[in-house]
Amino acid sequence: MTLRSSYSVHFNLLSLSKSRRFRLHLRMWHNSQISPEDLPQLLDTDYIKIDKRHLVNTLIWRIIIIIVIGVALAMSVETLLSIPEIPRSVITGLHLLYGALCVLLLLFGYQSVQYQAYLLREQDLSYVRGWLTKRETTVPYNRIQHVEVTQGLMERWLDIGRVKVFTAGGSSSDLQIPGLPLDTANRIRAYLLSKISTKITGDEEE
Amino acid sequence: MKKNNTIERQRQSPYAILVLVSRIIQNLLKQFSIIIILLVLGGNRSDDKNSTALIISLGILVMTIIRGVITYFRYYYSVTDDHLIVERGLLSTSKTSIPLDRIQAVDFDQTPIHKLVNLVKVNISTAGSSGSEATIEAVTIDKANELRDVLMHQQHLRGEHLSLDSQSLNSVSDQDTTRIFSLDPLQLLKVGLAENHIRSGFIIIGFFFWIIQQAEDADLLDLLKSLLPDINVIKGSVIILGVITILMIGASVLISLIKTIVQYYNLKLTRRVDSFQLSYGLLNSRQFTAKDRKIQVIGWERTWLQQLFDYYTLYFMQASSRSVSEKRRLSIPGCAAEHIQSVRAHLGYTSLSDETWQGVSPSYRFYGIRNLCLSALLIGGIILITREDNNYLLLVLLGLYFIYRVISIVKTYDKISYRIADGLVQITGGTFGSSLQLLESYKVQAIRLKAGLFHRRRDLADLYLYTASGSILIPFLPISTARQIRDSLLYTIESSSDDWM
Repeated sequence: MTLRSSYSVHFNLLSLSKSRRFRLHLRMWHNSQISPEDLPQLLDTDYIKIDKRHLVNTLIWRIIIIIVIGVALAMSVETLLSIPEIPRSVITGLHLLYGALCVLLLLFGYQSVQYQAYLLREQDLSYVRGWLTKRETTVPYNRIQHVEVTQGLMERWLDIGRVKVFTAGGSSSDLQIPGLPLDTANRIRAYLLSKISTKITGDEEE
Repeated sequence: MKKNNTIERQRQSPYAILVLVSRIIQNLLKQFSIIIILLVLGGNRSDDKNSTALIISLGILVMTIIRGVITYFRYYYSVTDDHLIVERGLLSTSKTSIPLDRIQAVDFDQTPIHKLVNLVKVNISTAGSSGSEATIEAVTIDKANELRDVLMHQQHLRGEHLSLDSQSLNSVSDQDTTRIFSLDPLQLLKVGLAENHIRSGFIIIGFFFWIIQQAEDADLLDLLKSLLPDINVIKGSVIILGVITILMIGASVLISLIKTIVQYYNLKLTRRVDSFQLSYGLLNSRQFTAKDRKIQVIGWERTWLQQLFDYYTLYFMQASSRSVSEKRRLSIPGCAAEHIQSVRAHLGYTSLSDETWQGVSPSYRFYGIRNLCLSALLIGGIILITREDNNYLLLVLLGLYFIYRVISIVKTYDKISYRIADGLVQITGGTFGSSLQLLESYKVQAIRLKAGLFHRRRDLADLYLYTASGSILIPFLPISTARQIRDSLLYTIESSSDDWM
């Protein structure tokens, strides 16, 4: 009994490490031809900036938000004025706060669009965004689950779209590239889909 | 050995009716518990009300039984060549068909009622769109085993290491399982004692407040005061507070001890061909199966208390359906270092090269402590401006918390290190305890570099690795190192033809 169980331990270890060794071997064989300096590098200069029409889209949406907040503020100031206990300085403070909010919203909206850029390579898709905090995300094509092109109301009017790329890594790792001319967006989608499907058929041939 | 890869269309075990009915009644009791309590309390006054309540509850019972019977007779499951098909529906019919290669795990669950009639509940979880999870409420153990084997082996044959593994598959029968680890009663006791007692502490505190409220309602406090007339009020309250604290600590330890023993009783980790099987539970027995290829991340960790008792908690993370926010994590408490080594060996996660462990930039400490000081100044300022007499205690407490945070930032910095070699990414961490996360490089789904103002000024970046079971962070890397890691990981992923799940 003990003999048998120890045999099976050994057997299991052997059979698995064999398959693992096989995979390692494959990987080493792939890697052996490339030293760290020769690895393809992602460079900032290669990135393609997104379309300027996206700036219009962003700013218009932010202006709408500003107007909505402004109306709400005006209405609440009216009620505040009718209460005599509230000093004038509070209302001036509110106005100043509103002004600062407007400036910040527009500034951040403008700057964020300046820093949005994407990069398509043979094997992966990268997207960079952020003015103060820079985020650079890369998704290899063979990890993409599915691809979508969406258009908002304003985007339809401006004839731009956004490409959404979904991975199994959860919603925080999903990519969304806004501000692409619609035909570019559709072409990128078709390209990504072709990449995914060639990968799948390639696997089946193996 | 059966090589049949299909299971014909069939119902669950007839005893499933019992399970179904009891489950529905349980749900009903849960939902209407308040109404039932009200009925019981208020119904005493007249016999008339009592009898109507009885009739209504009898009616509900009959309805439930009818519903259970119909559910049973309308429920079929079957496995065709590449799909699991579940048909169900009370009035309408719904037919779910799940592709076998989407199935992530097949787990068994046994409530006491299941145990009574010797059945198991089978949970089938998938990676993919929502609503594709399947549950088979009650089948016999043999049928459940057969189902699992068919679902799992089918996937196996579709895998890419066909020639390597199908041989071992043929020669391995059901008995070829090896025990890796089992939790003996003494170890279980240790695990229970080293559990996180804070959580059960909260339950106790809640209970305590409830008692106080009850006491206030019943004028118990006055009674207590009248009972203790000699003792000075302040002295008395200090004694009472001390006794209560000790009682609370004892009770929370006891509660978490009992909870742990009930949950992890008879824990066993076994190895079958290419999967791990984990089973435990006193009242509700559970059995989980984790296939090697479906495991995304493994890791182990221990708190300082667990360090004292000298054991680790090992865990496997599997890919989970998008709809389920909670990631699938199988925890195995009470492991020793040798068990972890054995699991690593089974998975083939062995380190060959002598690549060293790398730490992160010392700016980590500076950044953490700087932010802490800024928030301390802010909070301290607010407290000083709105100062009242009794706020000094608060300041002292905040000061203590500040010191604790500084120590934990320094400690955390000391524990963070990473090692990327042999196709494996390993990251250590922990504050007062220690932890390690381990994944195969090619299982990374996406990579992100993130750098805020502070990072950019010092040429640093945070590296996020997204896997199908959550993200992993390596913070405060020099930007050049971070880029190099990203490029080499991307190369590994893109040149890999291994299926990541």
